[in-house]
Amino acid sequence: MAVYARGYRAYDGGFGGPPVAWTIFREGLAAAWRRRGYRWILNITAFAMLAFAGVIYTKVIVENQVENLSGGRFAQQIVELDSIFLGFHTLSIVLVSLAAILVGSGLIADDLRTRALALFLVRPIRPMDYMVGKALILPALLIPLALVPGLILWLLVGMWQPPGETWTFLSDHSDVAWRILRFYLVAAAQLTGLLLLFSSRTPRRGLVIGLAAAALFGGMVLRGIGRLILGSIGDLLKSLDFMYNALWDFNAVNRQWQFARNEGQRWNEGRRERWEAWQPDGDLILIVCVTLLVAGLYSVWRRARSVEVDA
Amino acid sequence: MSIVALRNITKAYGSRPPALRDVTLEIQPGVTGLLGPNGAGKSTLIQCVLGLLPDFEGDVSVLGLDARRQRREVRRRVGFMPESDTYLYEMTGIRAVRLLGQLTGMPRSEALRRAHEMLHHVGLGEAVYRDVKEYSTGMRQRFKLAQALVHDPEVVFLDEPLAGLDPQARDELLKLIRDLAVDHGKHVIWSSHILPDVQKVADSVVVLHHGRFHGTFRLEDLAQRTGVFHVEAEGELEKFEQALIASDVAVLGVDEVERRETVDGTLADDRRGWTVEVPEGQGPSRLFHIAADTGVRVRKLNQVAEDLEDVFLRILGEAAVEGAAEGAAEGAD
Repeated sequence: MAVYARGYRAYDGGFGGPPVAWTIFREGLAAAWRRRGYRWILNITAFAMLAFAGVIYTKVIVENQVENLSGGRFAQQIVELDSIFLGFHTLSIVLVSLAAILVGSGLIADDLRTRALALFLVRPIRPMDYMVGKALILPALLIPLALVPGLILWLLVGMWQPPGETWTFLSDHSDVAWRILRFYLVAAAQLTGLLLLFSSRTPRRGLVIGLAAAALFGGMVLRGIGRLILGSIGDLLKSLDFMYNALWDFNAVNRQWQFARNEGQRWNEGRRERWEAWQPDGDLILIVCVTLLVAGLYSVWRRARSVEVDA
Repeated sequence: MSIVALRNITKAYGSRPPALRDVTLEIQPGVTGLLGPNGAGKSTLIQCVLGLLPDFEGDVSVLGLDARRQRREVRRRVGFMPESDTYLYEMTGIRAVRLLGQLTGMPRSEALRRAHEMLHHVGLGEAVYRDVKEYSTGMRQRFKLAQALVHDPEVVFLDEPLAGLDPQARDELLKLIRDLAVDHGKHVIWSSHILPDVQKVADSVVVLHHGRFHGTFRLEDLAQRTGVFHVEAEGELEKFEQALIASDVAVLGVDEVERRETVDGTLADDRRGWTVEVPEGQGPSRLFHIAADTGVRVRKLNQVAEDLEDVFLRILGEAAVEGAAEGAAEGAD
């Protein structure tokens, strides 16, 4: 008998499904994956990674092997590698931010606009389940954009070392992997917090996109203002450039190499001071990340306690 | 045992007047219509019962469970069809109902099977793979009913389920709702302000107005509550009518007169009907006495059921008088 001909039947199955937070996360992930914009950005990131891999291979590996054969310095290879990683992640943070805004803007706002929150909240779920499920979506989506490409590049450099030196290179330069991981964590925490916060405040997706873009690009302006102000307010303003915060580690290492390489030369004169005036404090970046994330999570949790806005 | 019991429920949105004021009521098994004009507090009451509005005063129990402390257990056993146009963004009907089943704790494969069954049951079998956003108003109402039933709840809350439907769709959905209660033992609590629909399906009704509870009654009791009868008689009809008018019986209406030709070729009244209201406590025997006194034969006697709309309007009228009296008392204070 066809299923539709049976009429209403009592449910005879069980209720032992996976945790609801996992279900919400998984469904959100699948919905984001179906977005053409996200897949486009993923493709662009993959293309950029391949291009940078080509640059690394020709510029760093081939050239330096030639230099090594002719007695060149190995240190030069490392400096250029850091510079290339910085370049790749500078491009990456723009793509990561775009993807986060594209996907994250609708995380809660879509549920508010379509009034789906009432359908969720009338199920036996806690506000915490909804919050956790939604909060995990963006960090998961950013893994293939912000974490995997950098690690692949790092592994490729290791693989392109002379025979037998791959593991030595990778273990000697594990700090690069940690920097990539930090880049991902800072970007994911800030963008997740920011977008959960905005997305849970309004059902209008366009407004969320505008606010998030304003926060990201406004942060650059604030860092510029912050360098002119001494004291904690200036430090705080400098730490509000969310995109730069993710790159902070790459930038610091790269600059230190450049300063060390040009030690005693005119190039360095006044440049270190000017650079340091622009730099946010590492601890403050951490505080900003945690604060944004907590604010975003709290906002979603509050939203998931009631449908009063719909009443 | 009552299905839902509310004690002293008060709920206000911000600084606005309370949407519910000290509501105490019990809802019995079966299909219950939650009646009231727009703004009466029907949706707010349902949302308080379901724990969707946590900040309210008073106690609520559903199926004997404390709706605050045992909220998750309550939600596992109830289904809710909201009034608002609700769907899940960029999701097909089957995906959305399956997801909502999973959120009730159903395993994915079971939820998928059940989602298919429910969508077919409500008549969306041909549209399961279409985006809910593309559904018509009627289809969305059916979708909302399917998601409310996916986990086979014991109690189903329907908030204006027939809003925006054409007459045929209304009848189909009414039948579905009635079948749920009659054939499958579901308790249905149905908020509406369309009284004829409620009268077709409901066993009992609860009346709310301006956030206050104004009574509950069973529809089958409506006939017994009234002293209105329709009586048809033949014989000395003029005499009977005069006797009715002269008595303590109120004549509410007179039917068309059936005439027949007499042997002398003139037309005479053959049978006539009157709608009358006998004084409280007297019953139909009063009419038989008058008929016997005037020598007419009562051919038919029916008790006239009070129309739900009449009762509803009467309750609202009483509520308005009460409200005015309270307002005057407050003004005097």
